[in-house]
Amino acid sequence: MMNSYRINLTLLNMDGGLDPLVRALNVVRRGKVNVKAITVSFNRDAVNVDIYVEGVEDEVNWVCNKLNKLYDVANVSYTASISIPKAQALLMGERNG
Amino acid sequence: MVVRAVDVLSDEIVKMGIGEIFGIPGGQIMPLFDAFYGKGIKIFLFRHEQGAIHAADAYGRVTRKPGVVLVTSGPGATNLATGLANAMMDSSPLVALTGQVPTSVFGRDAFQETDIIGLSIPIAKHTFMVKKPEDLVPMFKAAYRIATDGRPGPVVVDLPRDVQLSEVKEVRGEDYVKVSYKGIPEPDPGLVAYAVKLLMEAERPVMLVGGGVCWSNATEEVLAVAETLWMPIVTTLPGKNCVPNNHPLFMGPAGMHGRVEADAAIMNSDLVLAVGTRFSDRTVGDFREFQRGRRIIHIDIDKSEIGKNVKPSVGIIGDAKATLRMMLELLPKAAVKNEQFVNWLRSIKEAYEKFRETSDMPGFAPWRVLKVIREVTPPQAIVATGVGSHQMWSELHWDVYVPGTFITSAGLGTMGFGIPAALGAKVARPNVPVLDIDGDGSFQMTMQNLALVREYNLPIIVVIFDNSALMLVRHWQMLLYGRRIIAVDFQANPDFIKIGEAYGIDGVRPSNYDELRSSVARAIRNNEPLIVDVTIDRERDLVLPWVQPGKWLSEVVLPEGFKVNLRYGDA
Ligand SMILES: Cc1ncc(C[n+]2csc(CCOP(=O)(O)OP(=O)(O)O)c2C)c(N)n1
Ligand SMILES: [Mg+2]
Repeated sequence: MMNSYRINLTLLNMDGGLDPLVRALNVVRRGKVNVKAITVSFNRDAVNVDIYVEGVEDEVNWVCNKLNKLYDVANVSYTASISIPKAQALLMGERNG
Repeated sequence: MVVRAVDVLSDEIVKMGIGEIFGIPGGQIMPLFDAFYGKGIKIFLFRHEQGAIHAADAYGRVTRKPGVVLVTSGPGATNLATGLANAMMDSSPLVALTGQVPTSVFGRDAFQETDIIGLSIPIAKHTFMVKKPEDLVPMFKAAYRIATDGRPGPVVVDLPRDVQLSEVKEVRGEDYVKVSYKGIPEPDPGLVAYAVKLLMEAERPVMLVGGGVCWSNATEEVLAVAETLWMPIVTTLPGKNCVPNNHPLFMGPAGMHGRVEADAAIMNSDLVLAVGTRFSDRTVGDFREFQRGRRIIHIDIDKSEIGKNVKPSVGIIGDAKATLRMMLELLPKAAVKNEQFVNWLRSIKEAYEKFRETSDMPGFAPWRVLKVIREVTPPQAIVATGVGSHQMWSELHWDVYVPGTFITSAGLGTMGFGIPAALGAKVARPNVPVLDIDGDGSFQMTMQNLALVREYNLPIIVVIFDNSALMLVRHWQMLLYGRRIIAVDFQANPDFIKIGEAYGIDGVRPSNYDELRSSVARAIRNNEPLIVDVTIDRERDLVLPWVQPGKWLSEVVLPEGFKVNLRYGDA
């Protein structure tokens, strides 16, 4: 059954490089899920990524398991997501952060 | 004197005991090559980077330590792409060091600038872009460790020239690099106990062995579990390399180009214990049919494999050896053995062998060529293959006696893998005979690397199944595309004996099996290189049994004249 999920990803941050994020998104690209929104924030040691997707849970699991294998992924989890943040809210978050 | 980052790295590489490197130099990697000057490391100069990386891949499979490949930026790096994907698909450990343009010109389309990291992220286990000289050694060490951490694979380390040449002001330890190592998960004892319960309940359990068994060094445990339950062993293509093929419970590889007794074992099983396999579509064919009416226990070190292609009744994340050992402790020593089932499968095996023994074709028959070569090849000899029908014939008819001695490109199916893989294996095991069972098409993809045979005294024996065709594709055209044969027949192949001659390698085009036998035996005895051009009639070189892609094993196409009932209990 198609549902909405939020995948939360913590990447190890080395010098603000984008490779860990690109590597993770390359996995998501191959997953059979529809991506609705992505938020990313860079901290000193970690990159926090929330990926809002629509799909069947099995496929979300596939994406998370594949992400979990990556050597710059510190943590992956997913939850059923009730609402996908609107673009406006994301922009606000960006300004505030 | 300034100590360059590459000087520190090359010293460290020597200290780590890495004695061999495969590669080709060029502008952006000259500093690192220079740093190896006079350090006693053996550099094998290949004639194409693809050759270097396949050699490193095979070296890794044989030694279980990452092979190291060293190339320049741009075309040197892009030439590695196939080799990276190949190593990734077959879980083979290697570290690829690529030169890169100086950081100051990144993104300026400088001469030979290619974003090799961007290119390789999806086909490598991990990548590092070294931006500071201090990072070079810790990143290389991390890459080397990642290559064999958990499930092995290839790691790329990209080295901008300015970073290579800069002075290292501060020595950093390996843990300076942030890496989330995966290690080896402990199998869950509760799940193992449940798996054993299912195994005990099963009437016709079958073990499916994948390549993970080799990496985990679990051959002994596989045989012990199988013998306790008198369970037939079937394998994937890489799994064929992990159990002695002359074991009484060995039924061979199953699936698209598998043995009928192996297909029969799976079809008639009520439980499959799958160890270290990702359930390739080539092995299983029809995933839905595979899961119907049969329990599946799946043991794999890689969590993402559990449930990926097949939903098991029990999925155990763990090292094969450790998990099977736990199972052995729980299994009663005198478990019930279904000898009848095994005997029935063995009768299929014997019928097929007999059929092959008595059937012939004009000229050379692929199965007999392999048999004759096997007779004169010591058990510990290593065999690499190309990709195509000759590879599938080898899957069917080459007997692996010592685990780890069969090196083939299984997951990516890379034509051209054979010659460089044989060279890499010979570097790893100079005292063991190394053969390459190749196709005329595959051979021509990497044959320039034959130059290394005399350059470094790497006497490999290359047996070309010369059918003047891309036979496996031709086979599909015949069976799936209504015999519309297009772009598969070679009208003007070169003379392979002359090619050998050009590289200082003796060649022979045998006219009968005795000549084949004696020439291979002599080359092995004298540790001499040899090219054997075995002429095979492309009109008759149809590798069967064969299961059409996506079809269930029961729809196996058998060779003409061979009949067998594949339903247990019907006979
Ligand atoms: C690099 C590459 N290109 C194309 C293919 C598709 N392909 C698979 S088998 C095959 C034929 C191989 O011919 P050859 O090496 O002569 O072996 P044969 O099948 O004739 O025994 C081809 C073209 C491939 N596997 N790899
Ligand atoms: Mg051919």
